[in-house]
Amino acid sequence: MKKISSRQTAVIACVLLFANKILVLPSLLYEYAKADGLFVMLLLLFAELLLLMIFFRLKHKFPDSSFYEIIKKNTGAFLAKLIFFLIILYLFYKILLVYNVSYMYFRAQVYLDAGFYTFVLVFLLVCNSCVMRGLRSLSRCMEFFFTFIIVCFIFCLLLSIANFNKFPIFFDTNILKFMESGFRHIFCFGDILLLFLLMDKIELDKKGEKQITVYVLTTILLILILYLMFYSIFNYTSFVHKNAISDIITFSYRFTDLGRLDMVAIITVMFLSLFQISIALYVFCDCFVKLFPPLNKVYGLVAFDSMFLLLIFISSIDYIRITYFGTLVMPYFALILQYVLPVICLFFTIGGGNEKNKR
Amino acid sequence: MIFNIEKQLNSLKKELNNSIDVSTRMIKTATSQKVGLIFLRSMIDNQLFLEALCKPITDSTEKLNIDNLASKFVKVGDVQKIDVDDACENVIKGSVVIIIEGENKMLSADLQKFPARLPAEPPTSAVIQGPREGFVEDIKTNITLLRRRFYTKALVLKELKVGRYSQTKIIISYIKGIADKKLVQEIIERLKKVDIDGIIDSQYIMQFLEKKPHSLFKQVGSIEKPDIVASKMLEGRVAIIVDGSPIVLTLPFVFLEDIQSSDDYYNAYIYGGFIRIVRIIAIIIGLLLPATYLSLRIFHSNVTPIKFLVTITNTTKGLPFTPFFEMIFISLLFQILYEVSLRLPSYLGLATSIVGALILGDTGVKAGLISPPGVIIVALAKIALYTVPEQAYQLTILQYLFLFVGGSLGMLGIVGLVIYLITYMASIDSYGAPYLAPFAPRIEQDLKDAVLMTNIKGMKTRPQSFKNKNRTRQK
Repeated sequence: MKKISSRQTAVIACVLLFANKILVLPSLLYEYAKADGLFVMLLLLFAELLLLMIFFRLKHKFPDSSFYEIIKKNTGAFLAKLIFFLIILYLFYKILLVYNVSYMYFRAQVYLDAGFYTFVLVFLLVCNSCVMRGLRSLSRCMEFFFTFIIVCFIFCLLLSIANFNKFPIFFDTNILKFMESGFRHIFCFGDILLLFLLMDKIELDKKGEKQITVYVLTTILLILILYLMFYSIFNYTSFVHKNAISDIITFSYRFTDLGRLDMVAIITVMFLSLFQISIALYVFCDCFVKLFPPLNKVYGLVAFDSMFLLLIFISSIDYIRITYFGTLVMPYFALILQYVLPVICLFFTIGGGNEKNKR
Repeated sequence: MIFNIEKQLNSLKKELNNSIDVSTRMIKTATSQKVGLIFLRSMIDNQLFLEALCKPITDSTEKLNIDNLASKFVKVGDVQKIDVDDACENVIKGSVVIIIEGENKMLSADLQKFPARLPAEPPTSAVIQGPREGFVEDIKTNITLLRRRFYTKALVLKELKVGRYSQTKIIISYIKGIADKKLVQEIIERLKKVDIDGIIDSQYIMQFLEKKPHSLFKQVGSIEKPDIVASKMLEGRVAIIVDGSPIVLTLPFVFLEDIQSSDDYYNAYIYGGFIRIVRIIAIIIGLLLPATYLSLRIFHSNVTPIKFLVTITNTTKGLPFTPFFEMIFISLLFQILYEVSLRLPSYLGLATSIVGALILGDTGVKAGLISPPGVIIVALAKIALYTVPEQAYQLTILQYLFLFVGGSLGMLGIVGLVIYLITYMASIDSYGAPYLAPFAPRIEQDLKDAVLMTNIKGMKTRPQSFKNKNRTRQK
C-alpha cells in the first residue's frame, strides 16, 4: 500500500486543528471562561501536542501496524471492535458538528436565500468523491491548497490588526468556570486522534516527526493569535459573535474601503470544512471496513450517507440540538476516546523493541 | 529460385493489386543484359531515379550481378539485398526493387520522396526569442531536427510499426543514461499491444498511452518544437515521434508542463517566473470568473461590493434572460464564433470578427438581450484560457462545468468542484510522475522550475518527480 508522506500528514494535522476552532468556538468558550477562553484553548491545544507525541511513540513502536491491529493485539478482538464501534459513532457526530457549524456560518454570511439541499448536496458529493479517490489523492489535494489556506488565514489576521485596541482582560474568571468551559467543548478538540486511525497509511521518519511538530506548533500559534484578536476586538460582546474568523474582519477599518474582504475568510472556511469532513469521512469508512471486514469503503459511505440524511431530514436535527448534545453528552465520550484511549495505547509501547526491527 | 524478370514483375504487380501508380520497367545495360524495375511512381524521387539508378545500369558495360550493381548506386540512400517475399513491402515504402536475370535475390534502393513542407514556426508555440523551427509531417525530417541537437551516441531511436493497414512508423527516442529503462520498456510494451487498423496522427497514439483514457485531462505531452522535445529528453523523458504527425509526444507528463513555455527559458528567468504567474492567473480567471460572477449575482449579492453591485443592477435591468441563461448564451455565442472563425477560410475571418464583435455583441447589448458586464466577463474568460493553448479545449469544458455549478450551487459549489477536480488530478499518475508534481506531492528540488523559476545555473539536478538516471545536470 502506498503511504502518505510526512508533509501530507502534517497538512492533515493542521487542517484538522484549524477547522472547528475558528468559527463558533471562541464565542462558546467565552460564555464560561470569558477572555480566559484563550488559555482554555492553549491548554487543550497543548493536549493535542501531547497526543501527537504519543502518536509518534506509537508509530515508532509499531511502524506498519494499524491502530486497530495494535488495540486488537493488546486487548483482544471483542474490545477492539467495541472501541472502533464507538469511534465510528464519535466520527459521525464530529462530521455532523462540523457540517452544522459550517452550515450555520454559510447561511448567515453568503447563502441568505439558498435551500438546505444546496449544502447537503455539495458536502455529500464532494466528500464522498474525495473518499472514493483515496487518502493519497485527498492528502495531495490538501497539500496543494495548504499554502493558499495559510495565506488566507494570515491575511484575515492581518486585516483584523487594525481593530486591535488593547489586550482583553484575562483571569476574570475562576478555575471551575475555566475547567467547565474546556470540558464542555472538549469534543471540538482531539483531532489528532484521526492520525492514530490513519497510522498504517503514514510514512514517518525522524525528520518527518520534526516537520509535523513544526507545522502543528505554527498552526497552534496562528489559532491563538486569532483568539487573542477576537477577544481583544469584541471584549464583552464576544459571546454574540459566532463566526470568529469572519467577524474579526467585518469590523475592520479597511473593510469598507476594499469591499467585502470577509469573502477571503468564507472561502478559507469552505476549504477547511470540506477537507475536514472529507478526512473524517475517510477515517469513518476505514474504521467501518475494519469493523466489518468483508465490506469495502463504498458500504461505509452508503452507511454514513444514509445515517446522515436520515438524521438531517427525518429527525430535523439542527445546529442548536447538535451543539447542545455535544456539550452535554459528548464530552464524556470524547474524553475517553480522544485522551484516555491514546494514553492507554502509550502503555502498549512500554517494553520490547521496534516491531519492524524484531521482524 | 532463379528469376524470370517479366514473370516476376507481373507477379509483383499483381500482388500490388495492379494499382495505377505501380510502375514496371525493363531496361538494358550497354551489353544488353536485362534488368527489371518495379516501384510506385507516387512515392519516389523521379530525378534521382533517372540519374542515380537508371543511368548507372544503362551505362554499365560489365555483366551485372547483385553485388556489383549495388556498388554502382552511390547516390542512393539505402541499398539492400532482399528476398522475393519482402519485395512488395519495400515497393510500398518507396523503394525501387531491382530484379537481375539469373539472380535469386533482389535489390531494394530507397528513393522515397513525397511532398513535405519545410520546418516552420508552429502556430501554437510561437516564441519572441529562441528557435523557430517546428516539426513537420515527415518523420525523417523530424529525426534530423532532433539529431541536430544531440551529437552523441547516447541518443537512442527505436522503431516500431503500429497499425495493421497503415503500418505507421513510430520512433521512440530517449537519451541512454538519463531516461529510465523501465519507463522506455513500459512505453514500448504499451505500443506493442496497440492493435488498430491505422494510426493517422500522434493523437491516436496518445490515447493508447494515457493511463486514464476517459479523463478530461491530457496525460501525454504534445510538442511541436524540437528544442522543447530536446529539453524534455534531457530531463529524462521519452519522446515518441509518429510518422505523418508534426506533434511529438513526451512521457511522463505533468500538468505544470503546459504552463511552462520555451520562451521562459530564453528570456530573463525573473520574467519567466512572472509570466508563468500570469498564465496561472489567466487559467483561474478563465475557469472561475464567469462562475464567480454568476454566483455573486444569484446567491451572494450581499458580499458583492456595493459600487459593483449598483453597476450590475443598472446594466442588467430589464434583461429577458435569467443570469444563468445570459451567461450560457454569451458563452455559446463566443464558442460558435470561435468555431466558425477556425473553419472559415482566412479571407472570411475579418468578416466573422465584425459580425461577432459588432453585430452580435454590440447590438445584443443595445437590444437589451445581454448585459455589458456579462459580455466583458465571458470575453475575458474565453481569451484568458488561450494563454495555455495546449489545455484550452479541456479548460473550456471545465469553464462550462464551473458556470453550471456556480449558477446552481454558488461559491460553495465552486469550491467543491475545485476540490473534486484537484483530488481527481492528484489521483492521476503519468508513468510514475504525480500529475500535480511538484506541488502535490511537494518536491522541493523541482520547485526551482515550477512557477517562480531560478536561472539555468541554479537548476543543477534533473526533475525528481519521475524516475530518471543520473540526477546531476551540472556540477
